Amino acid sequence: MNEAKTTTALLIDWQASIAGQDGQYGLIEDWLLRGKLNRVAIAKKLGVESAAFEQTCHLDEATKVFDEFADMLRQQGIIKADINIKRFNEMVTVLAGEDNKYSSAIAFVSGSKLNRKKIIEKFDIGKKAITGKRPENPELARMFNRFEDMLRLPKFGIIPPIDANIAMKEQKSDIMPKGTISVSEAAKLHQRILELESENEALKGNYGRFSEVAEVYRRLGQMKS
Amino acid sequence: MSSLPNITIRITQVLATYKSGKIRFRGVPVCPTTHEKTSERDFYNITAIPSQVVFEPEKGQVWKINGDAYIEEKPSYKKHGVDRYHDIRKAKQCVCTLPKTKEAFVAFIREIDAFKGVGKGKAEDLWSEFKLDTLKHMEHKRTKILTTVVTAKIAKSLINGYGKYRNLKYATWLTSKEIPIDVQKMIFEFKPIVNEQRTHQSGYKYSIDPRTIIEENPYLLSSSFSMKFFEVDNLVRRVFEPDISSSDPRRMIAAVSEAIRLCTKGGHTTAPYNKLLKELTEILQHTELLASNNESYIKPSFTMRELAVAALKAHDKDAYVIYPDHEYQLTPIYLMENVIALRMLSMRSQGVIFGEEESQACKKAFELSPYPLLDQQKEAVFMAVESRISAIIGGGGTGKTTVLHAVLTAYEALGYVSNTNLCPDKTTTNRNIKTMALSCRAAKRMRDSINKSKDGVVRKRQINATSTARFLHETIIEDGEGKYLVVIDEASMLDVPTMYHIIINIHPNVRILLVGDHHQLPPIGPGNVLADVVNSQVIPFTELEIVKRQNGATGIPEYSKSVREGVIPEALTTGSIHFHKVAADDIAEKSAELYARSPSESIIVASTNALVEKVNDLSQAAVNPHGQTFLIEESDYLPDFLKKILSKLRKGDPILFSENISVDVTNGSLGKLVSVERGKDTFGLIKMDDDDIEVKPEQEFVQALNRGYGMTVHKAQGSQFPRVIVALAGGYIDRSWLYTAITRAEVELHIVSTKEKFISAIKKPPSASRRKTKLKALLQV
Repeated sequence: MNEAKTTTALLIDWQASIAGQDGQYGLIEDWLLRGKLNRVAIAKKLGVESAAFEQTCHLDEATKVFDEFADMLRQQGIIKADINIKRFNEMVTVLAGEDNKYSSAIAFVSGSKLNRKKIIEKFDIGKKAITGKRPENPELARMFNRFEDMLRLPKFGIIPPIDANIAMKEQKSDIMPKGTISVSEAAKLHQRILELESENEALKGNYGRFSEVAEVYRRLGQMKS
Repeated sequence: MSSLPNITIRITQVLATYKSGKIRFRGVPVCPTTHEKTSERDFYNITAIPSQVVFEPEKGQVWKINGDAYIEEKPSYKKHGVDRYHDIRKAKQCVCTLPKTKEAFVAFIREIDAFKGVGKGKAEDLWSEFKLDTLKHMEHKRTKILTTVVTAKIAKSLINGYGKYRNLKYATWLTSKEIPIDVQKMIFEFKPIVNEQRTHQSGYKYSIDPRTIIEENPYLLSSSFSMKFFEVDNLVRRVFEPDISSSDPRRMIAAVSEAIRLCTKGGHTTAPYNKLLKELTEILQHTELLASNNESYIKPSFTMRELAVAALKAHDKDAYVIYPDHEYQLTPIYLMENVIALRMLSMRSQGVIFGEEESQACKKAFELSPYPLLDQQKEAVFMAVESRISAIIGGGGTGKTTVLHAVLTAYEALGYVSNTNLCPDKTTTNRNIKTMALSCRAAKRMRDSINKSKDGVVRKRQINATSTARFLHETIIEDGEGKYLVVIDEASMLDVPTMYHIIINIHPNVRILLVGDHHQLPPIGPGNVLADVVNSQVIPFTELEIVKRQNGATGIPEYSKSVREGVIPEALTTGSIHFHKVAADDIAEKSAELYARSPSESIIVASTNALVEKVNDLSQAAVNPHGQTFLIEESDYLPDFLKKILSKLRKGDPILFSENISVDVTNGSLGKLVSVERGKDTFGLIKMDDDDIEVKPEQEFVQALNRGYGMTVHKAQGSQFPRVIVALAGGYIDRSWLYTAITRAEVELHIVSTKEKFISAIKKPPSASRRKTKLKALLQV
C-alpha cells in the first residue's frame, strides 16, 4: 500500500513536471507512443514496476490517477489517438446511412480499396495515424482494414472482393502476353500517335528537301523482295 | 629486354592511331584496382598493331598491357634521380579496362576529356549511391536514375561521354570472332545495326544487340560493311557456322552484292546480267575452292554456275534491286540516282513564266557584261533564267565564265539577293546565290571570275564560291519561299553521291545551274551526272561551241576542240602549244627539264602514278636540290612508311594533298612547304596556294603529303595553271584524258610524248561513253 501511495505521489509530481508553465503539457510528446501515453516508459522514469499503470494491474489509486490523467489529456486534444478513433466511429455512422447499407461509402472507393486519403480529408482524421509503413495508431489502422473488409462482404458489395481482383489479374496474365497494355493505355498511346503524325506532317512541310527521299523509300517499300 | 607480366597504365598521350597503321601511346603505371598512380619514375611507351587493340586508345583511359619491354634509365627531368623508360615495341595484348572501385571510378571520370564538367564530388556521390551499377546506368542511358544524384546536365554529359565505352563489350566479342578493328568501327558507326529494334508479337519493342545481328547473319559483314566476300565466307565457316550450305540465301545475297560491287568498279552504277553472272560464278568458284580445304566440307550436287544463275534470280531490296532490263544496282546507289532523277524531273515540270521582269533582268545582264555576248551565249542566259534547273556546257574558250557572269547579274536583278535589311552594307556577300566548284582551287578561280570582270569592274554584292565539300558542310537551304540559286561549276566532276548530297541539302524550290564540260574525264566516283543530264535531252541545256578569238590568243581552245572531236591537229606545234617528240624513255627527263625553265607557273600532268613519281624525283633534283629536309633519327618513333614519306619532302617543295584534311584542304589541293620544323605533334608548315591558309600537318595526315611538281590528270581536273606540261607515256589514255589534260593550260602548253602515243590517244574514243549509269534512263521516263 505504501508503495502505491508513493507511486501515486510520484505520478502526481511527474504530471506537474511536464505540465509546463502554461499548463499545456508541451513536454508530453516525449512520453507518447503511437498516439498514447507510454505507460512502461513513464513507470520506468518514476522508478516503479513497469506494469504499475497497466490495466491488468489495476490495483489501486495509481492506475486510476493515471487513467484520469490520460482522459484529461484526450479531452484537451493533447492525445489524438482516441479523438481519431472517435471520428472514425462518426465516419462509420455517417457512411452507414439510415438503411445501414453503406451506399454512400462508394464515393470513397478507389479500385479495390478504400481511398483513405479522401476519408482522412473528409472526416478530419490524422493522416499519420493510419498511413505509412508504421502508422502512429495501429489500432485505428486495423479498424480501417476491418471496415474495408466489411464493405467487401456480399451483403454490402461496396468494394469488389479481393479474390475477384486476384482472379482477374491471374486471368489477364494467363491470356495476355507479357507487355500487353490496357485499353486506357492503348487509348492514350493512340492519341500520342495521332499527335506525332500531325507533328510529322508539319515537319515534312519544313523539310521539303527530303520529299524525294521519302518517295523513293516508299517505292522501295512497295517493291517485292 | 625484360618480359613484363600484365602492367596496368593510364594513357597520358596518344602518338599514333589506327590510321597510321600502328597504335602508339604513352602512359604511367597505375594500381590495377584503384587506378591510382603507383610510380613517379616509370614511363611506358607502347606500340601495337591495330589488330591487337580492340579499342582506339584515348588519353586518360586505363589499359592492361602485356609484352617485352626495353628499359632505359635517363636522368630525371626533375632535379635528382633517374627515370625509367619502358619501351614495349610489340605489345602482345592491349585491353582497355573499366573501373571497378570507387577510386578508379573517380579517376576515370576525372581523367577522361569526354566527362569534362563532372567533378570529383559528383563522381563520389554517384559511386556511393549506385556502386558498380553506375556504369550500367550510364551504359543504358538511364537519365532518370542518374538525375536522382546529379543534375540533368551532368547526367547527359555522363551518358554521352560513356558512348564510346558502350561498345567495349561488343568490341571484345567481335575481336574474339576475328572481325577486323576497322570493320568493328564501321559497325559501331552504322546506326541501323547499333540502334536496331525489333517488335515482339505483343507490340513491345526491344533493342537488339549488334552481336545478335551479326550472329544471325554474319554475311552482313560483306554486304553492309567493307569486308571482302571470300574473307567473310572463310570467317563464317571457321568461326560462326562451319556447316553452312553453299546455297544459303544469306550467303547468296552477300555474294551477289560483292559481284555487283566488282562489276561497278570504274564508276558504273549498274551491272548487266551477263557480266554479273560471270563475276558471281568466279566468286563462288573461288570461295568453294577455299571451303573445300575444310574437313567438314560437303561437295554440293550443283555447279557454281548453276548456283550463280539461281542466286541472280533472288531479289533482296535491302541489298540490291533488279531493273526490268536485267540490270542490277546496289540499293544505296538506287536510292541516290532515283532521288536525283525525281528532283530534276520535278524541277523541270515547274515552268517559269518568262515575263517582263525576266526580260529586263536579262537585258541588264547583257548591258553590264564586260564583253558583248554572242547570240548563242545570250540564249544560254535566257535558258538559265527561265528554267529551274539547267546546264551550260562548253569547252575552253567558249565563254562559259562570261555567260555565268551575265546569268548571275540577271538573277541579282530578279531579286536573288540577301535581305538588304540584314545587309545594309552594299558590298557584303550575296548569300542567296550559292556557287561552288568541285575543288578548292576551282572555287577560287570561280570566285575571282564571277566577282571581277577582266576590265576591272567589281560586282557590288560579292558572290562567294566555295568547294563542294565546304558547301555540304555549312549550307542547308530549307527556305522554300525565298529566292535561291545554286551554281555548280566543273560539273563534269560531279558523281552521284555528291549530287545526291547537294540535292538533299537544298529545298526543291532552290534553282540549280550546272556549268561544265561533259567531254572531260568523268568523275572518279560512281555515275556521270553532267553527261547523263545532257544526253537525256530532258533537262534544258545550252552547249557553247563557238570559240571566241581574242588578241594574243593561245590557240589552246581550238587545239583542244580538235582533240575532243578525234581530229589530229594539222600542226602538232602551233601558237603557245609545243609538241616535244621524244623517245618513251626520255619523257620524264624532258618534262622535268621543261618544268625547270619556269617552276613557279608550271605543273606536269602525267598519265600514270609511276610517271608522276619519276617526274617528281627529277624535278625536285633540278629545281630544289638542296632544300632542307625533315630531321628524322633512327630511333624516331615514327613508322617506317611515314619516315619514307617525310624523307622525300624538302623545304620549298610544292605539296599536293592526296586526302581530305579539312573542308578547305581537300584531295588535290596544292600548297608549298615553307618549313620543315617538327612541332610537338606536327610536321612542318604548308602555305596553301588557294587562300591564305596555313596547314601544320599532324601525324595522321603525313601520308596525305606528296610532292606536287607533277600530278595525274584526275588530281588536276577542276584546276587551271598558266603553263602545263603533259607527260604522255603508258597508261590507258583516251581522247577525253588528253582533252582534259590540255584544257588545264591557260597560257602555254607542252606535250611530251612519242608521236604514235599522241595520235593513238586522240583516236581512242572516250571510255566515259561506256560508263553504265541509270540516271539518263530515269530522266527519260
